[in-house]
Amino acid sequence: MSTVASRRGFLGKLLTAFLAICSSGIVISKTKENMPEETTSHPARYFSRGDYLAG
Amino acid sequence: MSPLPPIVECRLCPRRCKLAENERGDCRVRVNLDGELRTLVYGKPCALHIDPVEKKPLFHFLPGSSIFSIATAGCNLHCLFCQNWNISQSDPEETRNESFPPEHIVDAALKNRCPSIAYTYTEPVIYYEYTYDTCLQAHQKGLRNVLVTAWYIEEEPATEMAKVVDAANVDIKSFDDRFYRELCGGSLRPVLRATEILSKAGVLVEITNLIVPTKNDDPGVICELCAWVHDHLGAETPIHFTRFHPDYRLTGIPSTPAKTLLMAAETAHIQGLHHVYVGNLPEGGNEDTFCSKCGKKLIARRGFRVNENRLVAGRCPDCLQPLHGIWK
Repeated sequence: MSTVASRRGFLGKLLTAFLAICSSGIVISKTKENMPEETTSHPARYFSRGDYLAG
Repeated sequence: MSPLPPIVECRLCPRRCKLAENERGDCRVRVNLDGELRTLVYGKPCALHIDPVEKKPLFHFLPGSSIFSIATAGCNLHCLFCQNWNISQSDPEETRNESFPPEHIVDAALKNRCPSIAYTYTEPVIYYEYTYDTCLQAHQKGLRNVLVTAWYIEEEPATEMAKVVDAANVDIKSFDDRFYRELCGGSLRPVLRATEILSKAGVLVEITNLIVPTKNDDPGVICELCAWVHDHLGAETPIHFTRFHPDYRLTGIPSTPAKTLLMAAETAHIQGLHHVYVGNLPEGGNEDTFCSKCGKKLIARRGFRVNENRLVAGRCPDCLQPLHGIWK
């Protein structure tokens, strides 16, 4: 019984997550990936340099 | 002894994050590298999709058209009820990103016969440079640009962005600054100021107000919001009241009752707003557009679908009154 119940719970969560993704219109979903060495950057606008206190 | 790299202050949004070397802003995507502010999400969308423009929601902009929609990771607000929290509250390393420079976005929109591009899902303010450059290239190819935004941004970048954007749906989360502070981690005043900048620059502005039961459903606050929209953006400004559903960190509150949304719509009408819409209601019926002069129905919608569009060259066919919006 408990196995069936937990399976239903799992399937329910899976279905909920699937519906949430569909309704949000997002086609590329989040995946956990650590790839800091591949992170590239581009110059940003609107900043200044100074003797501020960080934080 | 070499001097320490300077602290950088980001002046894009009202947070004004002051960043030490290698430190990222509150938005997660802007970083101080060697004393330069850099963005980590330029050309790296985590979401690409083709949506009906009605989904944004934009009801006075090319009705029935498809809109090429993009987003990157990150956001400069942290709404407890965010419906796209899995990408908005993530670092760019935590999302699966495509390599899509501005010219590829424009090509993809053209290839898919989308007359416009939406910068949406998370917050276009935080991928500002990517949005701006894509907007420029889109205009060169005859495409229009749409922001779907909470518009928590400083005046100077807002003014610059307004020059390259055609329409925006601004999500004013409440007219109560406490709501912004406690549920979103922001503040109201900069949003209002920046929204006026858009409107004065000639950008078509539609307003969305998502109503969360017990949090921002006070009739007096809704009345203040509607009065502000009327007085500062104009009576023709479309306003959408949308239904909250439990999500992210606000799962203990039920969905917004229909009567609350209808109360808000009635309030907007009383305040003199002509185009008032209620979204996310299963029964529908508050998504049609009417002529502000003769009252005849001009555009009939159901959900994200346009069932009928009677506009002729942007005018009511019965009394010839122009309808506020972008129609071709």
